[in-house]
Amino acid sequence: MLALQLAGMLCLAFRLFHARLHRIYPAFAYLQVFGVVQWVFISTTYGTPYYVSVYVTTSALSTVIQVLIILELYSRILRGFSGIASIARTYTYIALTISILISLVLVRLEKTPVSFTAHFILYRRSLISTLVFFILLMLVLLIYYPIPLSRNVAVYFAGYTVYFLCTSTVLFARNIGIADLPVINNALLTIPVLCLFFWAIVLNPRGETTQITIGHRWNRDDEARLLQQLRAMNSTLSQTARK
Amino acid sequence: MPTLYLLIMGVALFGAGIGILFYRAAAQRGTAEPLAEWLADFSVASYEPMKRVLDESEFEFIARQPGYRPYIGKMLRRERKAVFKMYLRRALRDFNRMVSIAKLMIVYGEESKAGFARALWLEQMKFYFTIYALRSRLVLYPVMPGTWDVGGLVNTLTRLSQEVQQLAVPNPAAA
Repeated sequence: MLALQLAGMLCLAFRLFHARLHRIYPAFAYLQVFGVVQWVFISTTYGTPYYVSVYVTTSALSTVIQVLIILELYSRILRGFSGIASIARTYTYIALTISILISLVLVRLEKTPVSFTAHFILYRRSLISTLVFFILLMLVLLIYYPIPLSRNVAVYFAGYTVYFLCTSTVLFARNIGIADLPVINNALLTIPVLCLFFWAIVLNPRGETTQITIGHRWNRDDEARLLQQLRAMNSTLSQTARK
Repeated sequence: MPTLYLLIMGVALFGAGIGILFYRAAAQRGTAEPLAEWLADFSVASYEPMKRVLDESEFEFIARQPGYRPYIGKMLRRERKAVFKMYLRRALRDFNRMVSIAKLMIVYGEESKAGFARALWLEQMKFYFTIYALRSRLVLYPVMPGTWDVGGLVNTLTRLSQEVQQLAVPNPAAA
């Protein structure tokens, strides 16, 4: 499974750099490179006294990069839509507040950590849970408003939703003691591998120009015609107003 | 502590329930006619008859006519109930289409329409609540007749229609 994880990161990194998508999603691309470095460090220090320090340091850095990825995703989604910018900004503050509160409530359900590693896993779980709820609340915004996304952004978004949801659930299950450690470890290795190969297969340059709208089942031609008509109406009315 | 968890679960379930009802109401849009053509043809005046569909004075008038039988009244009420249901469905569809157009204008607008967006969301909540309340009352009709005030629904459609038209007018200061 570790070898598959390395293969997945290398495939995805190759895909992103070869298709020049690293210029559009730099944090995502460099996370894969960092992932390979992390894999090398963890594999070589496994079983040594340095393993815990290496695991904690690299996981912390990886989680910080993942937060940057969410910010990168968010900016890509709302780029070019000044009409909805202030609404999205207010909604983001509310979504972030709710996400943090839910995450803190979940901390109360978890066992009190006794070791340094347990503390780290608790904080990491809290941060990832905050990201999960934030992503899910952003999904509500995307379903409510017809904000067009490039297919790549939608794929990126879907993959991270699954990744964060599964990872935080697995860590939460561990922290409340309802799952055995081997099950947790296997799940924590399998989920990223599946996500990596999903992204490596589905992300491509054509996905930047293909647009989709989540949750709005209109005919795209219908929407385009309506926009054209609204703009024509706008233009006619502005000409009338100037007379 | 268990009380806190129960409270949290209760709030979460209540929120999920409201969300599901909201989604179900908002999903009814109908796609038979292209939106651009529908917007050009839409008229709130077509909802005027809805105000009289379940008007008790009409049934009282029919009951006073020679040859009236109770079964005629029952049949008429049943048919009128079905007509009213159709009107409610149509009102919901038209409202949702109007909301969809308004959301498009918000997303693609050059200026921020945060105030309108907030008002739109509140209108949606009120409209869907009214629809669900009328549907619930309709289930018990004609056992519990009462008055059927749909003026609020029609006024909401009128107001939203006007607001969508106004959104198409640019800010005079920018002209």
